[in-house]
Amino acid sequence: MPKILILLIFFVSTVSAEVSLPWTWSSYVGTSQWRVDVTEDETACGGETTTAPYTISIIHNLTSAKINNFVHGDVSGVFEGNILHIPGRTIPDGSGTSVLSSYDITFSQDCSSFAAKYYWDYSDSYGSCSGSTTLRGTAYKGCPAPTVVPVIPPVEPPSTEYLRSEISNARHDLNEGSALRSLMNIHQQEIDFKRNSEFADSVKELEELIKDEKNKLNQLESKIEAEYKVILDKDPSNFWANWDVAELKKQQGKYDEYFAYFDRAASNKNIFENTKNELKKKVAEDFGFSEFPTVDKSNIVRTLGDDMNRWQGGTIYDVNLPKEAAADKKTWSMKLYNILYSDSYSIVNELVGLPGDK
Amino acid sequence: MFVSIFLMFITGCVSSNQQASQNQSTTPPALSPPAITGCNDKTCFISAANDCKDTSLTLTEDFGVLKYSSKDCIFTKTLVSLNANETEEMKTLLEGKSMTCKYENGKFDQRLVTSLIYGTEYCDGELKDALGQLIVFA
Repeated sequence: MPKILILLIFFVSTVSAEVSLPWTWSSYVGTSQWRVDVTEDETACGGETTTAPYTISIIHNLTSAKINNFVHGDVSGVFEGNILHIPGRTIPDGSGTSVLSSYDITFSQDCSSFAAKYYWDYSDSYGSCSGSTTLRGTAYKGCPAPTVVPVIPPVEPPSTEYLRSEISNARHDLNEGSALRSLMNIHQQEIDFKRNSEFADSVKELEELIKDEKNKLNQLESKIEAEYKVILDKDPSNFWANWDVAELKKQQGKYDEYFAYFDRAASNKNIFENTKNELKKKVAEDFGFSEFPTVDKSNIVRTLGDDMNRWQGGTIYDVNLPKEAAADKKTWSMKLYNILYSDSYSIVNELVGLPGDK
Repeated sequence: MFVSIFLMFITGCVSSNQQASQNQSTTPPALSPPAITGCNDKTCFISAANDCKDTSLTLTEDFGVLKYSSKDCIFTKTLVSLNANETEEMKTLLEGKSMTCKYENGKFDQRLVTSLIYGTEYCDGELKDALGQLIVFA
């Protein structure tokens, strides 16, 4: 018993010892000073693109950091290595409000500079518009002296949960883009219907409307692509980002890219296989099946299975997919589900949720 | 009256040609409305559909009866009925459901009649959605 006590005391004292860690912002406690050029792009709001200098202090406390009174108010974030993750938020802005996207401030390894960009949607009683803010910071000096910090117990492996707000924001924009695209399609159908009818006079007005909607969609999709790029730069195989970008590419008719992003999403085997199991339950429930139809009991399901398994290569959406594309049956069936079923994107989102959902 | 006579003339042509040919029956007079081709097999249907002819074909498959039709470069696939051994839920889900697909003259995708699912990516309809969901069980 005394031997165990001695061992324990030795162990505890070892853990409590203070050691120096390699330099990263997430192991620093103190303040850093920066000169920041802030570029506001307000062109979509009838304004201009302007750049103004600021001087700021960042108060560091290991992985957390706070910037006081900075452009759109105080901000706090979480460091991961040399990247400070800032969550999205909504702030009062003039006579309206602005919804600011989440973003990352990326610091250079030598602590001499940082860069970041975030997007905002402003709205008030007169209307709404969107823009962006770009930050370029320069330090007065290099990395501060390393902070001596106690060794902390091991933590859980890195998760993708920190990307939750970024994915949520980007998906919000993606859904807005989908709605706008649907509206454009409805207007196009209306034009097709009216063109040779007694209502032909209103076609020009509708064409102008579609032109305007198309411009808005182009702007929105540039924003969406930038949002997902930030996420994928950090986590290239992220299921949610790849799944969402696949959907965007499908909507845009860029099917070769659609398949590439789909396959990257599918590389998350656990999520994909769990989703397929959940899908079976949901489809059975929606269709009122008392039991899962199987290839043994249902000829139509067997024929579907035979069809699925006899892929010898060919085109889907005019993209050539080799025989090997169907080698992994689970991925292939999910791909066909996604291609054939028009609501597949939203159903899968409903089942999978966001990073961190149980 | 002229119309009735004209219709009788066309009908007469169709029936006589059906007797004359196993695979492709009919060919309307040169000044008639769009050509109507009744086919008895997939090869005939694919050829007629590829030329955007007004054509149809009903076939019994392992799982039930399918009807294919094509008119003005729009293809329709309808699942007319399922076999008796399918469940009532499956019958409610699929019977009478269709999908339609637009295509260009000369670019008919023959997989639309050789497969249940392939070639349908540009199609729309309840049948496509239902088959898409059933894929997860296959």
